[in-house]
Formats: sequence, structure tokens, C-alpha cells
Amino acid sequence: MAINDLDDGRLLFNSWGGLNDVTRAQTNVLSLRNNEFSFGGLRGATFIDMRASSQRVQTRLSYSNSNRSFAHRVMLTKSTGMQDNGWAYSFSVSKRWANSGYIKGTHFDSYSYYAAVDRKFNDKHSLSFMVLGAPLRRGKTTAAVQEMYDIAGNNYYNANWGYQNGVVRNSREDRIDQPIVSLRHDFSISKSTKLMTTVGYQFGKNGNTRLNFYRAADPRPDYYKRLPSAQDGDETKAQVYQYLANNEAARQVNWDAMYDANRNRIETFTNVDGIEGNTVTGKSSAYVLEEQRFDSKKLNFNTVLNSTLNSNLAFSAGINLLHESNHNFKVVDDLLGGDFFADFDNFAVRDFPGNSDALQNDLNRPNRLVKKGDIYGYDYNLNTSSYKTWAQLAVSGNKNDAFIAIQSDYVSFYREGHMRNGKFPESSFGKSDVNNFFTYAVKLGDTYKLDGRNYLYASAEYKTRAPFSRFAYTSARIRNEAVSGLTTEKITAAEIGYIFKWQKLRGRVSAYSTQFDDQIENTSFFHDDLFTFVNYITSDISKRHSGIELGLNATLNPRISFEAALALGQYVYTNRPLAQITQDNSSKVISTGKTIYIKNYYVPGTPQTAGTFGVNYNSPKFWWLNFNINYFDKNYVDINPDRRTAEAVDLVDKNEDPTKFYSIIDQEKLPAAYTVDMFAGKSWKIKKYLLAANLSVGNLLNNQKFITSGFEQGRYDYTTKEVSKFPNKYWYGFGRNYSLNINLSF
Amino acid sequence: MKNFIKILFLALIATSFSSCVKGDFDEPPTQTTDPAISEDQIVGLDEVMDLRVSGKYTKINLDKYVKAVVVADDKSGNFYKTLVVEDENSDYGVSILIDQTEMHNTYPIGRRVFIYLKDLWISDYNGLPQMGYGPYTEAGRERMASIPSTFVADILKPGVSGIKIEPVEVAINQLGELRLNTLITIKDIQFANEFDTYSDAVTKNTLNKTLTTCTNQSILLRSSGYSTFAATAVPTGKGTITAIYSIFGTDKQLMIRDVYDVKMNESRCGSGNGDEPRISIKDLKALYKGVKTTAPKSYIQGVVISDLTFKNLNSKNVVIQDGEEGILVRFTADHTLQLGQSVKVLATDVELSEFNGILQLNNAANAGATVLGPGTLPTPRTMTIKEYNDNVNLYESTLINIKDAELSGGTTYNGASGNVTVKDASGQFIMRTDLNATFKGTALPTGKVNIVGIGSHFVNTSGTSTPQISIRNTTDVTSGNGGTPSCTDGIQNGDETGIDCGGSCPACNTGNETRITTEAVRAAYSGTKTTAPNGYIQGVVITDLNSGNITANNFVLQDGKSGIVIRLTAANKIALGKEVKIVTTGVELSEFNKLLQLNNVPAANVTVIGDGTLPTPKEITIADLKSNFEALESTLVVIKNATLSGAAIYSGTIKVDDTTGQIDLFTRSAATFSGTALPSGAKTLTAIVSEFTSASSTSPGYQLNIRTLDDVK
Repeated sequence: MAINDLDDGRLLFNSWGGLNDVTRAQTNVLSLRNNEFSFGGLRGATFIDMRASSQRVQTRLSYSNSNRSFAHRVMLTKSTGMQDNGWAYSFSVSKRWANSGYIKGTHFDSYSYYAAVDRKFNDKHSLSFMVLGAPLRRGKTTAAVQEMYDIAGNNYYNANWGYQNGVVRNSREDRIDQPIVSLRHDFSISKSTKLMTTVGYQFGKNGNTRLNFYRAADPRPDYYKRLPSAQDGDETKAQVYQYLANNEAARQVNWDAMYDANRNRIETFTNVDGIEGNTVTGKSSAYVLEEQRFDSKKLNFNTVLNSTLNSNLAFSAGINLLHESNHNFKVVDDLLGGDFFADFDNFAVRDFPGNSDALQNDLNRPNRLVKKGDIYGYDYNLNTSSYKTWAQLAVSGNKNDAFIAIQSDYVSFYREGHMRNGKFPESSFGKSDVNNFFTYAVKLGDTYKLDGRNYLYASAEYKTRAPFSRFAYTSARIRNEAVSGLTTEKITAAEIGYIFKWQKLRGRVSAYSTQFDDQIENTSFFHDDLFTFVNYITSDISKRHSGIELGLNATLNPRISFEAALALGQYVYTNRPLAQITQDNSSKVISTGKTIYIKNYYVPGTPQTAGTFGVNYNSPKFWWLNFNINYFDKNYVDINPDRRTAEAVDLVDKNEDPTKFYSIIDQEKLPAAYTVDMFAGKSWKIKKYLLAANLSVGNLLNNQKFITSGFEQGRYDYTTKEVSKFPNKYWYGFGRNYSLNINLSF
Repeated sequence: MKNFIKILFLALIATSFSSCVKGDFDEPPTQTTDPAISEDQIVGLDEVMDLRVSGKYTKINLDKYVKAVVVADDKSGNFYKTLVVEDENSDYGVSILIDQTEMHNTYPIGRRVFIYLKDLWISDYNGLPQMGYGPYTEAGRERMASIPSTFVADILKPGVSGIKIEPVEVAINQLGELRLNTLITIKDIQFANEFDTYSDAVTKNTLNKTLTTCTNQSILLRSSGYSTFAATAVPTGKGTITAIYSIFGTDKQLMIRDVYDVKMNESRCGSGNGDEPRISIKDLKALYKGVKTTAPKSYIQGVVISDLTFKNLNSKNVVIQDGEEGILVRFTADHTLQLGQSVKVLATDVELSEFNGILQLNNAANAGATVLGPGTLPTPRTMTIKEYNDNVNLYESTLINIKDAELSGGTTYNGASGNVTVKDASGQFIMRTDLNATFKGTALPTGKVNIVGIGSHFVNTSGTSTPQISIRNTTDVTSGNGGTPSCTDGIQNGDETGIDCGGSCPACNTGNETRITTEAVRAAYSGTKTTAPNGYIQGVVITDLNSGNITANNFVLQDGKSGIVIRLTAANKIALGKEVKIVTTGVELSEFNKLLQLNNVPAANVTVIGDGTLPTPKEITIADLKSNFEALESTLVVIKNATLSGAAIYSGTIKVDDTTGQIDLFTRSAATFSGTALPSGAKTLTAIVSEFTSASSTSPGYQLNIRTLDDVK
């Protein structure tokens, strides 16, 4: 079954985390190639065969120790393989935990389970049933400005946690429990034709916590007003610096102060829950911990027919029906010492003076005082259906292996609001209009075999893709209004390459280019000039990802081999997109069709130059060792589109004050970095037991200055136009880290 | 081996279950005690106040605490980034500046705080003591820095909460320095303007409103436009206010925490009980024995003989005549009593005193006046000036009629500083015209005239009495025996149907004139002084008299795309944005240094219709403006990318350049912004197109005039 979320296409690896033993049967199909499971995505596709009968017959017990996200993992797996009686069983359980991962405050706590049974009825029919899940709680980290890292004295400062009664408590925690059940039917119609049909269902909860506050000061310990740079006068700056540098608790969330504030805020609310005369007095929480949820329910029907028509002609086709319902809401997780939390819009109080309806999050239940576990703020579903069919023909000959594949997909989605928002009473409750998109894709390719060791290949694809529903509404949390001019995204891709498999040297050289048009992005942030949260919808985005890649593998002798890879990419925006800006709490469109001047800016998120060189040693005495040196460059920060508008540089003259002008519009390139990784392993065979140990050490040289990604803050000071007021935030890669794994199988 | 594996397995399982990550967190304890700070570490705020030097910044530098209670927080938004605390060991309070919003959650009213003094400074802001984090310089001015939010909790250590601070009941005149930053209560007080809101929630400006006690002491109530109650209507009654006492320079101010501090639901001051007896004005006047006294429980009743319309008396004053005698009543605020109305005014406890010799009921509450309906004006008593002068105290504040007198001492009613000499056969006295009288610029009638007016006199500090008469309007002056009627004598006489108009004189403003465009008026000028076409023009005033960048008699009116200067015979008070109608019939149309104007327009020709809509200034380049100057003269324009140069400040003539050309920008020395530094860089300029081409000049003196600095952006 397909497991990408339909609302934004992301993949939740957490669904099967901790089940490493049973997810080994993976088939990776790279980039624009043909495969027999589905049409495939642009970056290829991964298939995990989790049938009980596909698992290696063994009992396996393993223990891992690491300083990355978890400290310990224990896992027990047993698989029978297909037995003579036609049954196969496999199960696996594991637990991973850490009081703190590599970065302070990142606790980790997860159980995982997997159970599968196969029943082979005869040579033609078999049924497989599987259930898996991995309930997870994990403390998160957050990006910070360099000033804060410098004050903390290291680049792993994490603003999310603070001491409560002396115990580290993280305000931002992932809480995920989305089990999957599936039933698969394999039908060998004939020797050359197979039909595989799967029905799968995924459900459960997906939440993450954060602090919320109502008529209270921002509780984040790295809020910009608290930092030295926000102070007046050098002496005060120095004092604030010293205070923060010498006082760890002052750099972290102050739980005690929030409890204190909540207990001291005695307030009276009238007409509570909309009941005339219902007056409630109590401790009205200024701060709460809330859990934002996006619980996803997915029902998937997938059927694939594979037929080998003759020795050099294969046909595959499939139908994939997917219905997904994403329930988005938030609940009060902890009142932090208060009796209740007022479910009013924080910002409407100021933006709509005198309009008491405007501050209601739900007019159907006005003046609500919510308690632990209550849904509040927003509550809606995004429902998406996809009806996909595809077919592929692959021809293999002496000189050519060619394929052609086509796909069509009918996608429809709508929003269903469960609250009647006071600012949008007519467009927030109930179902929205349904958006329908018909999309299609075609791809073809050929591999030309110069001889048995040298191949040339070329492939091309054109496809259209429906916009993701998560980005399709101007303010999905509050109202049904869709982004105007929604259209499908267009993707054109091509790749050519040369593959050689010589005796001592194997490798691949390729060049690719992918053009994306009509993309849409949707972000919300605090707009300093408008002093409110705004939704920044950027549409008509065009990007091009192009580059060349080189991969080499040289075998010196059976023990020593080398590998090298180089990727030179150029990921750029290729036009000037348009921004539509709306206020989260007003139907007024602040700006339509504001031009974003980002043509030839870099697409962020990944180093566009990357290289690696590795040495492997394989001892005949059952141990091996591997070193890799990696190099990354041309990694750019994610840009704030608002800083690339005419308004952002209004009255900043390029010629008079070029320093300031370019400080606003330039995109920061993150420093180039290199790391060294080491992997080692050894195994012992003791009677029928196989004992193996693996050690992986990442970033062996402990490079703690490796910024893996960064972004410009959405806040921009239109008054002073000084970008240093809200500087870029960064994430740093772990320093030296390791994972040691010992397993015993029999 | 198998056992080993079993043991290992069990051990691993055991570890995994005993190593659960903590899920539920202990709640921190509720604070029920103060932080442990010993008594000897506490000082009184009085000791800190002793360090304060007015206008200076003093570091307190004491390793001690002040133990105080929060009396004002920022919950309603009326206080911003400021807490007001009262010391528990002295009578003082102080404002503390903190760089943090929404502090009411941690420091609510009634919470005890221990203020660590070591790094704090004390100073004052225009007289109001404040503590903060020391001076810093912003825009050339020294200011007190706020305590950084980063460590405010270490400087203001919270203690127990719920402490009730009782406000001290005071009278306004008892408010002194000791009461600053403390909670006080004032009784029997009301808003001077009861039809008002606390502040302005739209512009978010902080506004002052006047509060007046029933004993006529007043104080300002200052409220932020950001406060939750900014748009709330003030109570119309009188009662009690609890507030923080504050000061700004010499202005005493109050600031409330929220509207719960204002309890004013009793009847307004001076509205009486309804059981007061009537006292005749004659009897009331008799109670005055030369020294200030207070009227008994009573009311007076009579007919209003003064006319507020023509502003020949203070807007708080009214003259009421009851039979043979009259009295001036001075209210605490502007009144609306009309000429000829029959009224009653509560006199109970109102001060009866003389002001420059005129007996008045002083500081009567507006609430004590009741209009009974239309009254009958008393017949003015005819007398000679000598008869009046000999009996001033009897006839003052009644209507008198002087016959066959001659006026001298000036060409207009304004005469010499408001005084015109009136002579009849028996003697002379003064005709007094108020500075604000609408007719003060009207030409003084010539020849023998009859005058009806309100008798008065002025007693100077040495006790010398100068008898006076004040007319209500120019129609009170009519032609007397022996006069020669003319069309310019300022009197309606002969066959005139109005003053100097109608009959054999030019046509009067009928009120039925037809509207003509300003453009048509401009077109009627052919280079020499002429008379404007008959009719009226209508438009919006685009000049701002308040900024002083235009002479007092002038304003500029724009009507669509055309504008024109209106020069009145007297100073005008017509504000920016007013819609105005001007009768042009018979008015002089001429140029003043090439600037076209309707000259010497009588006040009677001008009617303010109400608030108009300012025209959208035409966007234009300087080059285009110069090439099409006459059509744009006296209209609003916008010049983009304008650079100002030629001087460092706005004063006299400076240059405006927009790359297409250059033009003068003229600023009168009387302008409020004259002397302000010029901005640098390209600006967007809104201005009135004007001209000053002196006779000797060889090139046109085109110029722009801005109204205020807001015109330069």
C-alpha cells in the first residue's frame, strides 16, 4: 500500500520505526526508471515487502546503544518462513528509549510491534495479513539564531525545554501512534502472470505539543526581546549576555514562572458556554501546553498485474484507490496550574475592538473555558480521494531495454469545518466546495547496451500533479476559502547517463534536469508591519533542479575497495512567483499578486554540491571497516519571500546604500563543510548462533560547526528594514555520534 | 549457551521496562510565602526618593530591596511596559519601567514584589518619579531604559499576592509630590464633557479628558488609545474615581487601571434637587456686599439677552435679564443657551462675585441650566450715556438703548483693541467688542447711530470703572437722527433691506444665490481688479490655520480642480477640511502679488456648512506644475521624489527639486514647524500651489506651501 500522506505528500517514517529487522526486504528503484510495483515518483520509489514469508527464517535478539536520537534499543524478532503446512509467521517487538538524545531535552520513548501471518493455500493463492505500529514520544529541537548558540556556548542549544522541579521538560514533543493493518492477496494466474491485491488501513493519532498563551507575554526563552541585541546600550547588552551565558535556566523555558502566572490570574467570565448567567471565576491559564493533532485515517486499495508476455516483453498495470481523512485540531494538554483556558482568539481582541463575536473560535459554543483534553482553537478535516490507474510496457532486447509508462490520477479534496469561527461565521463551519483535479503522467526511457559492460541510458517524463490540500486553503484552520486560481503543478524531467561495469572499476555518470511549474506554497507567520499573523501563499512558483552526478566504485583486491561519488547540482527558482497575503483573522486580502523577486535564487534544503570518498576493508576473518569523507557545499538558507518584494526595499536606494539593500535581498550561503564517518563490523559463528556487532561513528572528527540548514525568519522589520533584528535561524548537524549494535541470531 | 541467552533476553526486557521516560511532571508548588529576604535587607522607598535629583539619573546602587505592592499593572493596556508599586514601608509609590508586555500575569495588582535596587536607577519623567535600568540616548535625548525582560524576575522578585491596597481619599488641591504613583480616590467628581469616550481606539492616540469636581477643581484623566476601554463612553453622572496620581510637567493627571475605577452614577454636580425656591435677580444681586459670597439654595429665572451666535462674549457666559435687572452667569463649560430663550439656572451654592466689576454667578454648573421655552425679550431701556454711567451697577447686564451717538476710535468694530468710543450729547463710554466676535472686522458705521446693547463696565485693578456697552450683532446699531444714510455706513437705513445692501444699494445676499464654480470666478479675472460674478462658490478649506502657515485673515478654498484664496476682513477660525460657502456677489476679485484672491470678504458672506472631504491632491511633476501654473494655483498637489534643499530648516524660501524641475517652498516664520530641520532624501510632498511675484520681480514667484510636517513623507 502507498503510505505518503495525500494532504502534503510527506512520508511518516515513524510508522515503522524500530522495526529494522522486518523492513530489510526493500527494493529501491532510483529516479526515472521503470518498476513493476507502481508508476513511481520523480526520485524513484521504495518498496518494502513485509510479508511473513519474506522474512529471513531466524530468531534474532539485538541491542543497540547510541548517542543519537535514542540511547538504547532492544529488539526481538522471530520468523518461521513458509512452513510445510502452508503457514508462515513473523513477529518483532522493540523498544527504543533515551532520557536525552544528542541534544539536551530530546527524550525518546517508543515501542514497536509487528506481526504477520501468511497462508499459502496452493500454488495459485496466498493471503498475507500484517499489523504494525510504533507508538512514539520524542522531545524535539528547534532552530535558533547564532546569537543564542554563542551565548549558550554550543551549537546544540535547544530552546524547547526547561526545568520543572529540577527535571528537564520539553515543551515540544512528538506523539505519534499510527498503526497499519493490511491484507494482501497474491494470485499466480499463470506462470507468467501475477496479480497482487492489497487492502490497507492506517489510523491513530499524530500530535505534537507546544506552548500557547492568551493575553500573556511570549514564553519562548529565546524570544528576541530577551537577547542582548534587543537591549538599549552596550552596558545592558553586556549584562544581559552575561546573565544568559552564566545561567542555563534563564536560557530555557521557565515552567515555574508559567505555573505562578496561571495560579495568580483569577478571572471571571460571564455567559460561559453561551449560557446566559453562567458566570465562572477561577484560575485562568495565561499559558498552556497544547497538543496540535493531525490524525490521519487512510484506506487504500491497490492491485497490480504483472505479466511477462514473452521473453522480452513485460506488461504491468495497476489501480490504486486511496481515501484519506486528516483530522486537524488541537487539545489542551496541560493547564499548567490553571483551572481553565479561555478559548478566545488571541489577536482578535486587539484587531476587532468591540466585536465580541470576532474573538470566538466557535460560535456554536461561545465563551468556552476549556480544560485538559478539550478540543479548542480550530477543528477541521481535510478529506482527499485519489483514483489512480497506470500501465507500463517494458521491452528488453540484445541492444536496448526500453519502457513506456502512463498514469492518470483523479484527485478531489474538500475541507470540513467543525467549528463556526466568529470572524468567518458563514465560511468556517461545514463542508467547503470540492476541488477536483485530473492529472496524468507519461514517461519513457531506453538503455542502450554498447556491450556487456557499457550502457547508455536516457529517460524523460512529463506529469501533472494536483496541488496538496494542505496548501490549497487561504487559512485552512479557520475557513473554507480556497486559494484563488488553484491549478495543477507541471513537471518535466529528463535524464541521460552512462553506466560502466568494468572489471576493477564500476561507475555511473549522469546528467538530469527537472522543471517544476505552477507550484504553490503556503506559510503562516507573524507579520511585523501588520502586527498580526498572516498567510503567505506563494503561487506560480517555477523551479529547475538540474545537475550532474558521478559514482565510482574501484576494487583494488578482494579486501580493499574504494568508492567515490560527486553530485553537482543547480537547484534554482526560474521565475518571479506571485504572493497572495491574507490575515489569519480577517477576510481582507492584504495583497494579491505581489511579485516575489526570486528568479535565480537557490532552492533551499539541501547542499547542491556534495561529494564522498570512501575506503572499505573486508577481512576474511569476518570483520570489515569503512571510512568515508564527505563534503557539502552550496547549501542555501530558506528565504522569506516578503523580503524580495518592492515594499521590502522601499526607500532603500541600491546606489546610495548598497550594503543595506543587499542585506535585505541576498540569500545566505551556508558554509561548506566536511565530515568523516566510520563503520565497522564483526561477526562470530558459535555453534548455531551468529553473533554480530556493528559500530557506526558519524562525524568522527567532531565537526560542531556544520550548519545543515537555515532559514530566514518570516518577521521583517519594515520600519528600520534592518534584517539583523530578526536574523536567520540555523540547525547544526550532530558532532561525533555513534551507534553500536549487537545482535544474536539463530 | 541457551541459558545465557535466556538471561540476556530477560535482562534486556527488564531494562527496557524499567527505563521508561518520565511522562507526567510534578507540578511546582504554589507560592504561599514571600521569598526569603531578611528585614535588614529592606529599605523604604523614601530613602531611594532622597537620592533622586529632579531631571537627573541617579544610580541607586544599594544592595537592598524595596518591599512594595503592585497598584497598577498592564492588564487593560492603559499602562504599557510599566508597573506602579506602592512601598509598604513609606508613603511613596514609584513607576517601574520594564521591557515586557502582559506583565499582569506575573505582577497582578495586589502582588507583593521585592525590588532589588543594586542595578536600578531613579529619575523622573517630566516630574513623575520612575525607576529603570539607567539612561541611554535616543534621538539626542536622554531616556530611562527599561529593565530587560531577560532578568526582570531577578530584579522584581514576586511575593504573595492578593494584598488589598486602600486608596487614599484626597481633594485635587491636596495632591502633591508625595501622592505621585499612588492610588488615590476623589469624590464628587465628573467628566467635564459627559458625551465622550475615554480615548480613541481608532487612532490609538492617548487622550486627556478633563474631570471636574462639584467644587470646580479639575484634573486630567489620561487614557491610552490601546486600552481595552478606549472606545468606552465615559459615565455621564458624578461620583468617585480611584486612580494612580501622575504628573506631566505642571499638568496633574490621573490614570485608571480599568473602568472599574470609575463609579459615577449620581446626578451631575449642580443639577439641584428640584425643591429650590426662585430668587429674583434683583434679590440675588442685593446679596452681594462687595465681597465674594455664595448664593443661597435657589434658582434664578429670566430671558437670555446675550447671543452666543456672534461670539461677542465668552462662550461660557450668558446674560440673563429678569424684569428690570440682569446678571451674567458664567458656567464651568460652554453652554448652548440661545438669545430670547426663557431659562432657569440653579444658584444654590454658586459663587456670587465680581469679575472686573461685573457681578456674576461664577462657575455655575451647566447641568443646573434648564431651558423653559421661548421667552419675550425685554424692551431695551432708552437712556443717555450719562444716565447709564451714573447707575452702572443698576443697569449692568440689562439691555439698554442709546440714541444718536457717534462712534470713533477705529474703522472697524474692533476699534482700538476692541474698544470704540461712543459719544452722545450727555457723555461717552466704550463699546466693547470681543476678540472673537464675528463682526469685529466689519466697518464701523459713520454718522449718528442708535445702539442697543448689554450694559457693562470694566473695573481695573486700581478700582477705576469704565462703563461699557456690548452689542449682540451689528444689527443692534441703527441709523440715528442726523445721520446721512449711505451704502457704506454699516447701518441698515434708508431703503436698504440689509446692512448696506438692497434698495438703492447693491443687492443683498439673499441666500438664494446660485452656485458658480470657482473656476468661473477665476476666469472672470482679466488682469485688473474687478468684482466677482454674482452667486456663491462652495468648496473645502485646504489650509490649516492651526499650523500658522497662512495669514490669519486668509484661507484657501478648493472646489473640484480649482481653488482660490479667500481673504476676509477679519481673522477667521475656519479649520482644515470644512465645507464652506462664500457669497461672491459684490466681492472684490483681485491679485495680491499675482496670487488671485476674493478680497475683503465680509464674515456675513461666509457660511460653514460642515465637515467636507478634502480633495485628493493631484500628483504632478514640478515641470508640469510650472507649465500649467494658473489652473493649479491654490489647489493641493503631490510631488513625488522631492528633495528639499537650500537651508537646514524650514524657514522662508527653500528649494524643492524632483529632477524635472525646481520650485520654491515658502514657510512663514509664524508657522509652528518653522525652524524644524529639513528631512534628507527623496520625499513625497503634499502642498498648496501659491505665488508671490512682487512688482519688481522679473520672473514668476511660483511657490508651494505645506500645511504641517505631515505633508512631507
